[in-house]
Amino acid sequence: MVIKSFTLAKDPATPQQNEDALVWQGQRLVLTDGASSDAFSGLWARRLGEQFVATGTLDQEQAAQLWQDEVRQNPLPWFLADKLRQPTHASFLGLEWDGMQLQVQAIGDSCVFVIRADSLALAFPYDNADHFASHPALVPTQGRVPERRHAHFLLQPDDTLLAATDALAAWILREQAHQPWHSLQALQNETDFVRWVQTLRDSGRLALDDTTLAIIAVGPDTRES
Amino acid sequence: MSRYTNSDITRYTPSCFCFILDQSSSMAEPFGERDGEAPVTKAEAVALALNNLLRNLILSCSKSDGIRDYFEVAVIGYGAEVGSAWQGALRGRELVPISQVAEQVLMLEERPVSLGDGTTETIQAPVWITPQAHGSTTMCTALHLAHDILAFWTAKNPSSHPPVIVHITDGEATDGDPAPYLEALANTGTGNGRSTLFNVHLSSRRAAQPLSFPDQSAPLHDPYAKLLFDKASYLTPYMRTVAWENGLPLTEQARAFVLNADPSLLVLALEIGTRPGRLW
Repeated sequence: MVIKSFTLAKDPATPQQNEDALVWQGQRLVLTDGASSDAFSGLWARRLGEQFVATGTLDQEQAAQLWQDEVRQNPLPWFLADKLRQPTHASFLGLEWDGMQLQVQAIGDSCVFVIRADSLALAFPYDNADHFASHPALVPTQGRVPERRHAHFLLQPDDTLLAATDALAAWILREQAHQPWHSLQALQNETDFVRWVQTLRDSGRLALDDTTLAIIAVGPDTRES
Repeated sequence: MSRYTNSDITRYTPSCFCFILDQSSSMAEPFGERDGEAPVTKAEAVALALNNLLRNLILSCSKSDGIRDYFEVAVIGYGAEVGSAWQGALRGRELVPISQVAEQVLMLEERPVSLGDGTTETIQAPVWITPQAHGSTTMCTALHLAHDILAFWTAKNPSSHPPVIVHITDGEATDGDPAPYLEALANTGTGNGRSTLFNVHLSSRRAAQPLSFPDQSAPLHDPYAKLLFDKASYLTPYMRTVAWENGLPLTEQARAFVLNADPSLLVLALEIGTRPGRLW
C-alpha cells in the first residue's frame, strides 16, 4: 500500500486548531474528526486513532484514560473545567487490511471510498451526500459508544482507497457522477491540496471545515508491501 | 453548498450583544412565584439569568486553546446611575471581547446544578453582575448611551452579523419618552441587516398574565406595553427556530417582546435572543 495524506484546517492560519487526526501504522489506518464544539477534541481524535492502530480494537476506556491524563496535566481555567463536565466527541473510521481483505469500522461521518476502474466500488458508511447530518453519531470520552458499522470488502490490484473527513466526503458523493477522484488523485503535494481546497471553499462547493484526505494505492500484492 | 454565509459569526467578523438592565429601586420587589423557596427579587433574577447566559456563551466560544472572540458584549445599567454595569476589573468598560469577559470574572461561587439523571453536581459558577436596585428609571439616558456604543461598533464591523440588544425593564421611564431612543436603537445594524431589539418587561404581580412574542398588539391596552411592543424587532427565523425547539411555535410576525415575564419566561427570552448559531 502506498499512502499519501493531506490536511487543511478550517482556518489555514491556525493549523494547530485542526481537530482532524489521521494515523496509520502497518496494516491499519484511522481517520478521526474531533467535534469542534467540544473541549480538547483534537487531542481526543488523536488518542483514539493511536489507540486503534496500536491494538486493532476501539477501546474507549483506554483511549479516554490517556486523553484524561493529558488534559488534567495542568490546572484549567474555570470555563474549560466547566466544559469538561460534558464528554468530548470524535468521529471514527478504522481501516485494516490483510492481503486483499479490507475491514472497515465506522462511527460518524468520516468515509472511505474504493475507486475501481474509474468508478465508485464502495462508499462507506455513507453512500449519499444527503446522509450527512448536523449531529452524526460520535465516540464520546465517557458514556455509551454508538453502534459501530462494519464493512468487509475484497480489494483488487490497482484499486484506490480514499479516506476523507465529512466536508470532503460529502463533496465526493455529491460529485460522484463527474469522477471527482481524478482531481484528488492528481494532487502531488500539500501546496496542491491547499490551493484545491481553497478554490472549492471560495466557490461555496466545499463546507468550511477541517479537511483531511488519505489516498491509498493498492499494490499488486499487499502482503508484501 | 457551503453552510457558511456572509452573516455567519467568525472570529474575524464577531457579533455583538448589548444588555440594557433596569437597576432602579423597583427591581428590589419580589419576582414570580417560587414554591417552597426563598423569594427572589427581580434584580436577583436578572443577575442570575445574565450570569448564566454569559457562562453559556463563553462555553460555546471556548476551545482547548482558549476562548475565541466570536462576540463583544456590553452591559448597561440604569437607575441611580447610568453607565456600564460591569463590575470588578471590567468596571467602566463598554464593549468587552468575550475572551476578556471569561478572564475577568468578578467571583466564582459554588452552585448546585441538576444533571440529566436527576442528581445534582456543584460547579464553580462565574459571577460578573450582582443585583442592583437603586434610584429612578432613567431609561432614556441608558438607551441613548447604548445607541452611541452600537453606532460605534456597527461602523467598525460592517460585515458582521448584526447586534442583538436585550432591554430588561419593569417600569416606565422617568426621564422622558423612550420611543425615539428605542426606535434609533432598533435601526442600528450592519451590512447584514438591522439589529434585533428585545424588550423584556418583568412583572411583580402574581396575577399578571404573561404575554410572549406576540405577533399583534391587539391585546395590549396599556399604552406603555404597546410602546414596548411597537419598538421591538421582529424575531429572526433562527430565533423562531430556537423558540420552536423550546415548544413555542411562532409566526413570522412574532415580535421580540415579552410582557409580565416571570423568571422562567425571562430565561426563555434570553435563550431565544442569544443562543449562538454556527460559530466558525
